[in-house]
Amino acid sequence: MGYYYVEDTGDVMAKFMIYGLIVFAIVMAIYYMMLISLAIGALVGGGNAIYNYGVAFVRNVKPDRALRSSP
Amino acid sequence: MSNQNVQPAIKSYFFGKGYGDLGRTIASSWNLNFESAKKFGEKALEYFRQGRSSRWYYFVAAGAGLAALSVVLFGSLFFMAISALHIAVLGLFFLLIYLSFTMLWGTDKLYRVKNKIFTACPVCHEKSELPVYFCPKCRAAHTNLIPNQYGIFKRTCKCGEKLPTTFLNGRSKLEAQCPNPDCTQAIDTHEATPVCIPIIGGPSVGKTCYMFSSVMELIEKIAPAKGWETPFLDGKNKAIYDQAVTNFENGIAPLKTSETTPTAFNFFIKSKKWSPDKILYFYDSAGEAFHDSRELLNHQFYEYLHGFLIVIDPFSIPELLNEYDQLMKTNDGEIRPSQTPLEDAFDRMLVHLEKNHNIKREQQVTLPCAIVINKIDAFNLEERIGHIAVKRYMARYPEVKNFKEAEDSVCKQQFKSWGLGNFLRNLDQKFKKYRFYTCSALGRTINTENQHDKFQPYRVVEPLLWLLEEANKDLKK
Repeated sequence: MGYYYVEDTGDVMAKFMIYGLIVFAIVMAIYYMMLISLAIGALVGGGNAIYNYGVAFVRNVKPDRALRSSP
Repeated sequence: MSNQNVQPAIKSYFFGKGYGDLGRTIASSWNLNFESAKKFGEKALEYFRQGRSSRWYYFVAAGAGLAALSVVLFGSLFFMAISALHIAVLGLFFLLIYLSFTMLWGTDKLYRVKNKIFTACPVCHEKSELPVYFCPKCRAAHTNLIPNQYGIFKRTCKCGEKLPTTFLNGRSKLEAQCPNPDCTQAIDTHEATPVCIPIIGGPSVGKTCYMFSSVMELIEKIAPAKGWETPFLDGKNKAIYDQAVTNFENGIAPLKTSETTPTAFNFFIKSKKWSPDKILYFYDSAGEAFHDSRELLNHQFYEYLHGFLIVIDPFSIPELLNEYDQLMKTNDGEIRPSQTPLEDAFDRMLVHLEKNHNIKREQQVTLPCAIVINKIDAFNLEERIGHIAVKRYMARYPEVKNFKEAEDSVCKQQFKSWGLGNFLRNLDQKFKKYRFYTCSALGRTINTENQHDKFQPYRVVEPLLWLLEEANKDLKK
């Protein structure tokens, strides 16, 4: 098996590269997961904030009130 | 803001309400965010408790918890960003509104300053920038009807009626009143430029006669020649004028003025050559007002007048009276010489100006002053101080080419010879621009034969016209 072959050849560099790739993949996965989490979080939190601001705006800024006294 | 400035009107959205709405929107949005986070948190706790029954609930609880965290974290960030955007957009919009407001306010102010427009009450003499305007629908009183927090171009009255706030859109057409709370005089001056002339002189110098005779000539002869229209301020002024015309036609001299604090006699001068119209104010107080300087305290119009018209009865000069004393006793004509020495009335007016109107003792008044020597038709005064004397003077001094200059010199010479040197010195010291005129406000003395003949005043309008032209350059056109 390739693994033993590598062991046999004592190619530390290749071994290191495989471990490195695994670690890199894990880090990248975590990173992307975090990014995705952040994006979802931003979507949830931000969307909610935008919605809330819209509700607050509609509740508090009434166009008819603004037009009652003309400039 | 003081209560006096509180208006029966709806405040403009852009001056108060807009900021309130912004503040309330931000606060309300923050509260909603907080409530959302709280809701997600409570759900997370609820699902976590249910986790004992099924482990899936732990995942749902974790999701709800993360959602609560997202709302707190990202919600706050987004909230701040949207609030900042809202403030910026609203700020920009309000800035445009304020710029247009400032321009309109400035234009209105500049128009009033340039045209020297102010409100002078004909009755209480209160001076103000603008009168109190009434809402045409509910008659609510609006002060300070200019572009301000109650509206930029128009102000909305509490009743919903829109009132114009500038000269551009018809503010002057609104019904108005004197702003003095103790005076309810209607002000129908329609934001015309006032020209205020007090008629000064002791009792019986002929102030009222002079005022009406000169105004009659101005209205009947000068105005048509110059293309002016001269409508009266109101029916009351027209009635007073019409009565004076009828009296003059029938040889009836005006009744003695009894008011020591006079109500102004007003009429407009309209012409295509200028805008806005001019409104003339003549203050004809009883001569007794010049007996006591305390009486003059009520003459608030000295604060804003545009010229002085001093009427002199030559027979109030003791030297002249002595000369004609015998003649007056034998003559059928009624002279009724004024009992108040000319210098006394003049000095009291000067003291009043110095005491109450910030005119320093050594300060010269730049306003024009016409000195009108009345009753020139009596005896041989025309030959001594009138136009006959002036022509003689010009013949004697051919280097004097100007008739007016010669008239001034003749009057001054005569005044000196009649012991009025002190009066002339005071006049020189106090007035930068003054002129002597001679006239007859009735055109004749009243005697038993001619008592019902029409009065025929002469040379009455010249002093008034000179004074008006000096007071307002437009009137020269």
